[in-house]
Amino acid sequence: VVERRRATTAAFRAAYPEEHVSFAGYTVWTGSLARPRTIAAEPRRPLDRAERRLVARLRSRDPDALAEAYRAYGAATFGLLLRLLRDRGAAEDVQQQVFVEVWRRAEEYDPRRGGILTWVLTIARSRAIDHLRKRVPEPRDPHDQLPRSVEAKTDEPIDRWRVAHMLGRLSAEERLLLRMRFYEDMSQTEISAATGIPLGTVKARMVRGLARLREMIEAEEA
Amino acid sequence: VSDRDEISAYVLGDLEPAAAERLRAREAADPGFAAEVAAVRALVAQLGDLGPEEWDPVEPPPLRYAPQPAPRRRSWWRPVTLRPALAVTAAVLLLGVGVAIGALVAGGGGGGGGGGGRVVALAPVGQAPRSADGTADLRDGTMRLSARGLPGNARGDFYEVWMMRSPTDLVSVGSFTVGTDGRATVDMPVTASTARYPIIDVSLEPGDGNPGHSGMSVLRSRPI
Repeated sequence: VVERRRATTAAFRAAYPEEHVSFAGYTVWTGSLARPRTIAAEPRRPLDRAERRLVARLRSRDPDALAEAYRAYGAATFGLLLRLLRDRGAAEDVQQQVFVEVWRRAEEYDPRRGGILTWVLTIARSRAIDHLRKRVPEPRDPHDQLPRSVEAKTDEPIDRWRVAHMLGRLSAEERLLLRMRFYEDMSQTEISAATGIPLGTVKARMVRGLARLREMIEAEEA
Repeated sequence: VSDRDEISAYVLGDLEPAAAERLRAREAADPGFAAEVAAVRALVAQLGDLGPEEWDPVEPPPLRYAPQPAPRRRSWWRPVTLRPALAVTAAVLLLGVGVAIGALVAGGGGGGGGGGGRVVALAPVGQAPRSADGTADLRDGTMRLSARGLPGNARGDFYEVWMMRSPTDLVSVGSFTVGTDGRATVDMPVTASTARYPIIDVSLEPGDGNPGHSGMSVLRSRPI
């Protein structure tokens, strides 16, 4: 935990190099609160419109669209596959299968049933289950269902990776504050002390980040 | 503060006691609000459960699959819809092609003043005044020859325009006369090819009935 905190704090200082000074062994935040800064703010793309365009391009068989889909969702599917398969080599192979399927089945994607992220993650889950089925020791009845425990344990990681993917869409600052709170187990007071951001500002930005995360997940589920 | 922000603050435990109590009461009384609070609580729980692999995702391997673009549909008829910019570009291109074809047709196919729009400078030669000059504008199967500084024609003589390959291989394009101002602008059809006859020559011709070149050139171009 201490190492994590050090790493995160170092990342924060790296993001604001000009707004920290060392003083008596402490690093002090000097940034102006009068001018709210977005730390290396990432473009917040309009969720629905960008996804609609991507789906339309996939359906029109634009090869660049598949590359774009891979850039957007490849990390989430690969993370999901690593978690489900626990085998990097297998995950890499299945990852390729997933995006071949995304390309071939783009016509079947129905936006009314959820966002494209959920669709791609569901394909990844299905292919992971296929792979896990192959691992079931022989002999076995080919009509048998996959053991319930195997299927059940593939549900929860989809939700986790959906949240993880959405975190990547937050601004760097929002993501960092949520990371400090939920991954580093830091209290808001500790975050304030580590970053030099006033406690009230930490709270406000964390609340805003959480609300935005919730909005994005709702949009994905809509 | 939006309702959603307030719910987030409430779930995170950041509200003042009085505000927290107010939301607690609403949560108990309003099922819709309670559902929203439950959703944010679930999200907070999920965030707390995320591990290092979700917070710091590994880079996925490169995509090895290279899809092929969709084959173009071929049909005998399909509605054409053009964007304005595309339409203008297409119109300009079509106009250019039309002009080029027109020049070729009017020029006898491969002949004529070298296609669409070429202006060739003419410089004085021989006994012509050094101030004399001119241009030959080859366009659409015609030549517009403009000359100035030429001596005015005396009775019976005239200037003749030639397209030459060599002193013995040349064709006549047309003739004109110049008044006392030394200027002339004349349009003449061109049937010869500038590729075959690349030099434009203007000669002073006496009215002796000889159709050949007099040997008295006054203006000439460099090879086109």
